[in-house]
Amino acid sequence: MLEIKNYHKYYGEKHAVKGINLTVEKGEIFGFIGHNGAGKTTLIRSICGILNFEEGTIRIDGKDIQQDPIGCKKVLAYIPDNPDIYENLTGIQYLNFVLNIFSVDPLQGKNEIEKLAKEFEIYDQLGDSIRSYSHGMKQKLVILSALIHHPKLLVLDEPFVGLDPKAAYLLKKKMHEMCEQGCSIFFSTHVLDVVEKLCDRIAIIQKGEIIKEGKTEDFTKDASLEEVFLGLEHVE
Amino acid sequence: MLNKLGFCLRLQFRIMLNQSAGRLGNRKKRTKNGFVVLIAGLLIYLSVYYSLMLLNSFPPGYESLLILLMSLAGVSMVFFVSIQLAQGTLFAFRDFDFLMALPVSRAVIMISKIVSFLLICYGYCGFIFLPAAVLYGVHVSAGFSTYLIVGVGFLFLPLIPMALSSILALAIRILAGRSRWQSLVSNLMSFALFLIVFAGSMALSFSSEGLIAIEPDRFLSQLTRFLPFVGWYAKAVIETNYMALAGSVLMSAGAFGLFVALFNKTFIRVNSNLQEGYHVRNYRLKRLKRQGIFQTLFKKELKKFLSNFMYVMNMAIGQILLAVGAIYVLLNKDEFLTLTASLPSLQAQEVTSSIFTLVVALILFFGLMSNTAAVSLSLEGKNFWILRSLPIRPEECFMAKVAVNAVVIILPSWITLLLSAVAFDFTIWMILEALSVIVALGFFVGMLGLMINLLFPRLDFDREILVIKQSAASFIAVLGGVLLGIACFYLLFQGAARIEPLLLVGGVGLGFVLLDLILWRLLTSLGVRLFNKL
Repeated sequence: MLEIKNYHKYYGEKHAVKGINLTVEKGEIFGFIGHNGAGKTTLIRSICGILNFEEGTIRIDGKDIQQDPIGCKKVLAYIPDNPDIYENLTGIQYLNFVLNIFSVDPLQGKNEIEKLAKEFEIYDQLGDSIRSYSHGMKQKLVILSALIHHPKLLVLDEPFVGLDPKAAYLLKKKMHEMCEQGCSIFFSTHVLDVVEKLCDRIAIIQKGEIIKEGKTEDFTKDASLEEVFLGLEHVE
Repeated sequence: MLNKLGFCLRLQFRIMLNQSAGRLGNRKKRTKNGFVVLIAGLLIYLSVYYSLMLLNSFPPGYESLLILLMSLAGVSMVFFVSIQLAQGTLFAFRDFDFLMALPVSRAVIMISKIVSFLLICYGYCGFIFLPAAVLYGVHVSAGFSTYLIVGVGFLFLPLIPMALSSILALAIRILAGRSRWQSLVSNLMSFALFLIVFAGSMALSFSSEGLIAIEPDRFLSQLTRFLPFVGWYAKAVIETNYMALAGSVLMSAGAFGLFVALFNKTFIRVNSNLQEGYHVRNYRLKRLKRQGIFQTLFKKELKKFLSNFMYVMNMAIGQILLAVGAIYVLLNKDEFLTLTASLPSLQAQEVTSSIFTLVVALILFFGLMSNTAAVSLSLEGKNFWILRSLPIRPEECFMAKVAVNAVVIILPSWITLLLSAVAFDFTIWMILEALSVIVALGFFVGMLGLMINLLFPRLDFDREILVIKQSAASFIAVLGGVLLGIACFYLLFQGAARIEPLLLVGGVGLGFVLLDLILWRLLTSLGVRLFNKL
């Protein structure tokens, strides 16, 4: 579903991300971890077509993000680390905006919104202006907007920041359900426990390079993921 | 207390300075500072040039009119600008939470906000009035006392208009409440206020007699009657009258003191309430509407435009003036006919043709100044990731932004044209041709503005007013629009003496259609590349 080959990103003369190769299969949850500034968000923004890159290819569902960005974005949903959304709209207006962009049937979209909004407990606030939302509520709205059009690939950047424990639990449950239905998930986080419990495969990025990648059970065979992660950082 | 006030003031100044510089590297910062100095220099030059032009046009003994006119202009400028600037500076400012969490009193927070707001007002008032005052002083060989009066009185001159406009801005905010249509209600009320003041100043103006014919003494007595603090200040400067200065200073200081005392009681409560948005009780999800991508983006864009009063007033003020002017002309047909008859280049034509040329020229002039698209991309700001991550082609995004600009121009311009057609009996061919030219104009302005914004984007900002008023794209689009408008005016007026109006306007329309095609081609090639690099 997601195939990254020899990805490089430069910021001026700084070589920020150096030759990343990754694959995320259909129905797989892939955890991407690393310290602040390691290059996680850079790669994620490139996967979503937000950030251009100089070398390499990123293919989503067989399509190249640079050659066919619209084709890729049609099957993709992105949840950023900071939920900056149109504050002059109400919650429902924003969700309707996303539904229209993805040409989702209004009745199906309405049912989906109703179900998810009730689950994430923001149904009563859907008619309120986004300006009045807290950070967590905005985050929930962005999650809803990503789930309502049933993407084939879900890309999340630090999705649990600002979520209350119940919403965080619900999101993890949703991620599992989506994978069972064939959706692939690529996400970054600093919450290693979540990665350990949720992911099928993991990659650790440091200073723009993948220093270890593999199945979760291979990582946690002899020690917890936290110990492995800190150990690798220490070695470096 | 004084230490804390000093800290808050320094903080506000630093924020103001950082807003101008943005988050740029040293080299870019230097370039930007150079650009700011260049613009400031240009504005001062324009102010000096305008004052000098006025001064030279007055007959001997009428020089004091410059002080009267420019002090009035400075005060009016502060009044109009601060109605807009109060939002975001005195109310609904971004650092409210941060300041409230500091161990400083509420009065200190309020005073620091008022002082920083006052500094902006001094900037606007000073740019208009001070060059004129210096020119006047040089012209009449004024002594030190005159300059002293100018300086001291100037410190108090913007206080009353600033306080008055802040009260009005606050009243609008309170009346708009926290309804679902808060922005719309607030915008409509601000717009209504603008119209009332505009109509009032037109009614009070001395335009029928012409500026040159106004006697300074009569002007001064009128000014002292309606705006005593300005009248006394002008009198003090002209006659080196310290009593008049004291009167002006005391009145301004007293009124401002009263404002601060009253404002102190509501400042925190109002700002605290403004932090809350619109809430619905017992929300029930209704049927959703299905719309195409263009329609969806267009609606989003239009909502963005209409929900921001500063956006409307800065980028579409020309259209508001045009529509108001059309209604005025319809009610004062004879005045317009006299004006048209006095223009030498239009005298070669019959009356209807002359007026048709003039109306089209005015529509083009105001249309070219109304560039909403020039900041529309920058205004995406932190929300830009939405457009980039959703399956939206850049061309679809461009089309929505251009279409909103076109609608903003086409609707008022069509109304103006049709009202003029009714008043002055334009032929059906004139109407159809002008309607088509307006459509071509609307798309031209939108595409040109968008291209400018793509070349000079500014996505990193904390207040939208910085993009609307201070970005390079906004400056280039507005100034470029004025210059293009003047060029169109010149072309139509010069051409009118030689070419038949229908043919002339048709030629201009064709020119816009050709430019539309070229710009669209440019947008879909270079524009898309620039968009993808953002």
